[in-house]
Amino acid sequence: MTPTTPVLTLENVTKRYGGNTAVDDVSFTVPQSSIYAVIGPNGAGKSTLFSLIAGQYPADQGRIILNETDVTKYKARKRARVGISRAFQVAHVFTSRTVEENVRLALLAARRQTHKFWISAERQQPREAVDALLAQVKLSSVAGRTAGELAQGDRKKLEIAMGLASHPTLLLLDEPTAGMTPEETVTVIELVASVQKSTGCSVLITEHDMKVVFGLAEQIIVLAAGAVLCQGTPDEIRNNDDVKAVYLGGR
Amino acid sequence: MSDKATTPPIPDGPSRSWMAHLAAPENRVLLVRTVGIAIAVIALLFVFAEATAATPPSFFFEIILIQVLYAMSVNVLIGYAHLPSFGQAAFFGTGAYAAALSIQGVPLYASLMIAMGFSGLLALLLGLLAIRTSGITFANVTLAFGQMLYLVAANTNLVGGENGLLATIPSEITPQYLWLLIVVCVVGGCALIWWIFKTPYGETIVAIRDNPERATSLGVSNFRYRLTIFVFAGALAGLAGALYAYATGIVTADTLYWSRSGEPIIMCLLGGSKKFFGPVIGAITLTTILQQVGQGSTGYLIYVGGILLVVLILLPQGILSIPARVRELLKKRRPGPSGEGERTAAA
Amino acid sequence: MNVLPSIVSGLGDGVLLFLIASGLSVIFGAMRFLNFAHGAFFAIGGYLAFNLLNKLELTPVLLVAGALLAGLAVAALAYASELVVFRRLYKLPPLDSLLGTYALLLLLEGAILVVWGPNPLSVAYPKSLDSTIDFGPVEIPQYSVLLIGVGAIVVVAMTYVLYKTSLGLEVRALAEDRTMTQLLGVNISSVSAKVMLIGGFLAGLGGALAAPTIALTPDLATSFIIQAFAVVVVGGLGSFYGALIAALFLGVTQSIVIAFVPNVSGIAFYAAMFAVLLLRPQGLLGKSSLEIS
Repeated sequence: MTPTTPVLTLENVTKRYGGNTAVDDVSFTVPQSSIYAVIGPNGAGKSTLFSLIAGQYPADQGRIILNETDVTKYKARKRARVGISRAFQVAHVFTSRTVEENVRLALLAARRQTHKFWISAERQQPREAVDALLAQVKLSSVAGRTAGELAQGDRKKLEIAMGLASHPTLLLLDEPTAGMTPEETVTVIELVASVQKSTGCSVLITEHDMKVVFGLAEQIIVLAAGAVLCQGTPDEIRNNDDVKAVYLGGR
Repeated sequence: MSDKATTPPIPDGPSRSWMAHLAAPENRVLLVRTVGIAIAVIALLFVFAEATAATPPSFFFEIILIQVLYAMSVNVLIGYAHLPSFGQAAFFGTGAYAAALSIQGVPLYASLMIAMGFSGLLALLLGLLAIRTSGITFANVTLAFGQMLYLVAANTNLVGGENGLLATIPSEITPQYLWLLIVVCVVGGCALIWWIFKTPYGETIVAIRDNPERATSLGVSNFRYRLTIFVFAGALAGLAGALYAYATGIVTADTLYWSRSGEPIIMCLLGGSKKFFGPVIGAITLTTILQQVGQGSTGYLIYVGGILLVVLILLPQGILSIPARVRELLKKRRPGPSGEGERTAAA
Repeated sequence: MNVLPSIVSGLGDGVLLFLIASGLSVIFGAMRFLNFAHGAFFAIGGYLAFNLLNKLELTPVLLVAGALLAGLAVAALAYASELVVFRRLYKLPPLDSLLGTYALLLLLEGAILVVWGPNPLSVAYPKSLDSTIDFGPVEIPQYSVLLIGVGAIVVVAMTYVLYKTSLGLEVRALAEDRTMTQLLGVNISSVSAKVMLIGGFLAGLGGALAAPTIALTPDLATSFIIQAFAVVVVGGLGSFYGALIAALFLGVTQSIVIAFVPNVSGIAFYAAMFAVLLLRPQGLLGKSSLEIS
């Protein structure tokens, strides 16, 4: 595998629900160590596409390739194990556990140590890694809080921390700044950028907040009605008439 | 050329034997605490047993302890794993029957092992089929399973039919010894449950309960964990059943009836399924009521029904949540600084 | 054709199950609420039939009239339960609310014990219905024919309610998409009260009609409710017609098995439940996206 092998390759990925084609013949690649964004009006199929990449549903057609492995047939759990980490639109955290317990569990899972029943979790997972991850997402101050008490914004940060625990190859962030204040949004932008730089993973985000998209993404893929409308750098997309039409011209 | 598609294994530290792990500093506190409490409780109960000198009251206490173990095992599924099994009586009863059958030929401890083995195996078989479902479907599948076993036991001569089976323990085993055995098994079982949920395995079970999708996204196989905890709970229920057989001396089909599955669930919710000792309180409460008024009698129905309803409506977290609720009420009376300045959100 | 009597009596048993299960199913569809106390409604219907009809020279007309009265009385009881107990259980997690209804079941069973005592009571068949009709070479129990007739009327009536009234529309809307329906301003409390009335009526009616065929004992409540649950789940939670099909299917299966292998008849019932749930967890007519934890 060479440095130019893309992290993620989608070939003709299609998903139909009943009579409706949610994702229509989508193909694109995401290179190593990059940040790409997928945007599009509501109903364009972004969330479905993400779920397909993460493995929550099987695609009806097409291939999904992670580095050089064809993961099309892998279920979500296996894809997590080969390097895809995912943060959900509504943050999925373990609500009855504290923040640090959440991160600790993510670390244990990443290291395939969750099956151990003869040793306490505290002993099995040293604190340093937990603290490091919490510091990275700036959640150290709430480490002892129950995850269920956190606001959406903090929950999303926790999700990112958990996603990072496995040193992922590809980080999928589904609307990472939804439900955040402007200050939190800036923090998340910085966080994602620094995380990507420090770990060298690739990040694929979907977003509605254009500030985030233009601030982070190297390339933007525009979806409309399930199909790829166009792809380009932020400047190219900003000035693209088709894109404007799709967003402003109604459905 | 490394295959970058798989995550490179993350180094964990020098590997040690599991005993060394257990003895390591961070673990020592937890281990000592658990073992210490267990020993203390056993000692207390033993002293109590000596004092009461194996007279009839101890049968009542034997039953209470057995119900405690049974209820705790059910709470593993109901409270910790959110596997609403309405058929745990299948394992309780299987353990009881297995104990009754095997005690005639093998030593006591072997009989116990056989009972646990059979219930665990049965749980494995049922689990392989049923764990794929969840929620109400799971409850009904397990219920149906328990009922099927009950009907076979009650209506055929496979295990004694209407008359049941005698479970006479060898005469070398004094009532004192049996009492001690029950104490050790029950306290040991509870200690085991306490321990398990401090381990990565136990935390994973709880994580799967809280958010199955997140668990899957971390690479965890929800099915495997649910199945294993189901087997664990089934084996413990079987142990309780075996002890029940020894204590009562006879096993009848009612050990498999669905109300035998419902009682521990009531105990868990009565005491509080989110607290470790909840099922203990619930078991003591319900069993005491049962002994006082007799099963199936008007008193039982009205007391249990009434208390359960009151608890569920007024104390949804169970009896053990009373201290927390009182604290809340007191806090509301005295308005003070509004807690931490961090952002909070409704859970 | 030895099977025909079994089938017919099985259909009759199925109707009884259907009467209690249909109310359960509709209540679940509208309120996502499984009600153990329904078994007590059924039992009380039977006991009320005893009180009403015991001393009379029973004719089919009297029996049906008595059953209807019993149904109405139980409907009132169900309504009272809704106001006093169920309303407070709705906000609890499913397992807790289920146990709350179980607690109510216990209370009502205790009340039955107090009022009617522990000894089995019975209601005789009406004279003209206590034997069989000759249907060619076969003899069919007459009472089962009555039950089937009543069942058919109930199905027609409920179909009318479900599809031609605004209440029915609300119930179906709630079953389809609860959140949306609430957002559209449907008054959930009023719907739940009405649904409980109907369900209670059907259960009481069923109990009263069942009275001649069984011995009335206080534990009737618990034994019937488990079977009713089986019917509801096999038919598909929330599906009225599913409950119908499942009730008839299970009733007939049980009846045929009894005729040939009396010992294990109950097992067939639960085995069918077990198998259906594993192969098709949403039940025969349930929606596939239904998983409630």
